[in-house]
Amino acid sequence: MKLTLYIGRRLIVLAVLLLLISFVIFSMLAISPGGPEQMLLGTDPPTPEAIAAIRARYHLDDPFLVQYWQWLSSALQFDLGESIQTGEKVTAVLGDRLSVTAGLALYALILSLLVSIPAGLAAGASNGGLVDRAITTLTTFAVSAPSFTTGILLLYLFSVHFGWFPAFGAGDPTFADRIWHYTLPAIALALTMIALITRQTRAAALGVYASDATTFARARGLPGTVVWGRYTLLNSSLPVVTSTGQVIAYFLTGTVLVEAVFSIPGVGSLVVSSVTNKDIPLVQGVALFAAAVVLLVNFLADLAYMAIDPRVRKSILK
Amino acid sequence: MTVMKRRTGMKAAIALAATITLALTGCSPGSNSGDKGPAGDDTLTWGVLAGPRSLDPAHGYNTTSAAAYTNMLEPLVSVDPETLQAEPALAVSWEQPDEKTWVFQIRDGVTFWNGDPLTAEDVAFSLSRMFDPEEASETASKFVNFDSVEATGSLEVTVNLKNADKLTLYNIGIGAPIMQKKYAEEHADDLGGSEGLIMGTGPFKVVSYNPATGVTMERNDDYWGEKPAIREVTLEVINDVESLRLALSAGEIDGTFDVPLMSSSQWEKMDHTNLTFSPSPFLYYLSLDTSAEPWSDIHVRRAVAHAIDKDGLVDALFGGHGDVADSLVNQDLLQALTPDTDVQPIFDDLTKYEFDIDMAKDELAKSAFPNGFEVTVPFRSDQPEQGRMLQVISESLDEIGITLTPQEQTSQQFLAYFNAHKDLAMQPGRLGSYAPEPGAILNSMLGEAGTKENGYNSANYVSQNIQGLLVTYQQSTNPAEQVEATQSIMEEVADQVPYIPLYFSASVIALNDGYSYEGTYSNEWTAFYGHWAAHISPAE
Repeated sequence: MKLTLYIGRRLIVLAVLLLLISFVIFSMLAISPGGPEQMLLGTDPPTPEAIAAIRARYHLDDPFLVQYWQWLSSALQFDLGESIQTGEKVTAVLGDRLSVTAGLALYALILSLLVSIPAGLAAGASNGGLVDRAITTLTTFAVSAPSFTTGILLLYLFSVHFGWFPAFGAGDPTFADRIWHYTLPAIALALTMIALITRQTRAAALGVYASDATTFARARGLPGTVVWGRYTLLNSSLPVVTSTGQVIAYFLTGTVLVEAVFSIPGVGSLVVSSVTNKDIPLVQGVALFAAAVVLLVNFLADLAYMAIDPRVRKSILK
Repeated sequence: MTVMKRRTGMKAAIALAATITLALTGCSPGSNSGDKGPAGDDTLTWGVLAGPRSLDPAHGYNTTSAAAYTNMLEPLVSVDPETLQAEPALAVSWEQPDEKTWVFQIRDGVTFWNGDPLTAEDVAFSLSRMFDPEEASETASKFVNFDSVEATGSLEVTVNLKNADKLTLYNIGIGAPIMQKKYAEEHADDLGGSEGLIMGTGPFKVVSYNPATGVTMERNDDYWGEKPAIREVTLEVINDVESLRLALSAGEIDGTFDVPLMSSSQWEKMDHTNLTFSPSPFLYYLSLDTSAEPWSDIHVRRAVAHAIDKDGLVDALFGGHGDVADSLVNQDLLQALTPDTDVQPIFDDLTKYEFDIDMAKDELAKSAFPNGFEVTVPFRSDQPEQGRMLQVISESLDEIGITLTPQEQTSQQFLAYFNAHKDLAMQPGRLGSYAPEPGAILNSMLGEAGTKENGYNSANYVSQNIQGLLVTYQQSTNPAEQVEATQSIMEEVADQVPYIPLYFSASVIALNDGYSYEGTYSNEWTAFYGHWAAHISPAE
């Protein structure tokens, strides 16, 4: 019951925030100079009639609040309008792009976690030793290389030179083809986040591994998997949950450089192209989506805390 | 989600590691080696930097969309890239009973891909919709002089103009490729989109289309003209220019038009790839706002003209693949007006400003600003060659006391500022010609209408002499008279320097040596009036 109330309250706050954000984005679009019709007619000198006809078609001359209300009233019925550049429905575009990005993000997340969690735990256990220093150095390299550069390098090595992976695109919508196309970009993305999660895990593991409970478990001769699995991992997972949440939000919205290098039609490149072309319905849709993702992921992270740590559960639901 | 992963962590991790290993080792396609030999067959994969915005020219009037729809939809009239003359395409002949009326005879026996015959109704519909305000076509500017288009016979169409317009053939050719009326009306809400697609008569028909990922087309075996050698063409979107090059190198695409001239030497070094360049009338220039100081002073304008090394710029910016421009008028376009009389003497006699810093200093000394001044010049971030040009000339201008600061802006910012038409000062410009004649570009850049918002007379240069000459050119039907008027305009522009013409760029096609391109490819004439994919065949 208390849990339901808590979730309900959070969802209402989320809805209000989304409304506010949509209004702020719309205002910023209205204030910024230039109009989408200029991006449509850029090639040849346009006549005033041609410009007027396009502006009328997209209601660009209506008063600001009227335009916002037109957008909002459709949005509440889940119709986010159509792209000015291509005429496609915004919900369809977001859907296509999201399915691509979500697959890539999941793959990259799994790769990151697979590498960083064991690395972080090992670094924490070694604490100042050779393993710790080696891992710290490697992850620093990984985070220092810009994703754009690692992307091109991976492309050149594994696609052009060895020919193991394709050079562009998301491939056919089959599981196998997607995995094959996503591997290089997922690696490029994962490298950027490995350092973050490794450091978080290492810091948390340091504390937990040296604690009395873990030392006693080791002294009692419990097998390594139990010490690691039940004691260290779960207890050090809170900071990792935070950083994983941040990473998911980043992977879902901020991957434009990797998408550009590998020509992956994802949400990141959509953000950039829609803003560059001042494609108002698309910008609104994408901004709303990005805000919803960040807010939802934070919310889920909070729920995860409550599930993991009984102390947090008690204090929130008291 | 994260909690679940922890509990089944070990097993999931092992399963995934296995999948990844399998993916890495098992899936190596044979055709993806880095050492690509000739691989011509009857399919063609073409790299494009952006997807077509629409298959309907009314809502996708740009080079990336045209690369798709010009293979599917045909114009009434096309332009031969070698002779630069109008050629019959879907129209077999045309005549002008009077200067405001054009009558076209439509080719007989042409069918759409669905088997329906091409009729005059389809032609009238395709043209009329381009100047229907409800349609809000992006090509509407080409039809500003059109009053009505009617089917006046089963294979005859009459165009009625409000004002005589000698560019009518080209306006129709580039602005209204022919589509089927019935299909367009049935698919009105998504015409040209990924569901609605399009219905045309062209050598290729559309199979599938997505604005983000590209288009697949297949050969139209019932095409009325010469059938293409290629059976299936796929346009693949590769957003980054370097990735495009790597894809060509890996043999994953067979060719592209989007070679950046600035780094063309890198492309030329690739094995199994051939680059072919052809001259283009695409003009790069500097515009100087003659309505405000310091540019209103002719000595300032002449001083800057002397401080620019055009040959050096063509080498640095286009790898030598460009032609220095001594005039806003392109020689090939002027020559096209009068194929029998050589126009070279006109260009030889023009006033030219040679690259000479001392002469630049002398000119500036004669001006009201002998000690120089400062100017900030904006350029678009998606036109980096303009930024480079500004950096290069700022070095020379520094020597004569003018401090030029290039300022990068997003295309949106730049367009907003340019279209507001205020405080233009110095602007880097580029403008193409859509018709094989010099008048349209001169009209845009020197006409009085261009001094308003959204206008292209960014030099705000309005001279009575030139206004008269522009009218003479527009109204004359005598090519010799047109050439004379153009020559006089060229001479005044060269003397008064409201614009500094810089260079004309080049069209380029990069092709895997398993394929060959027949004829000349032109960014202007082939890309918008022709079907480029039908010119490609597997090499012998």
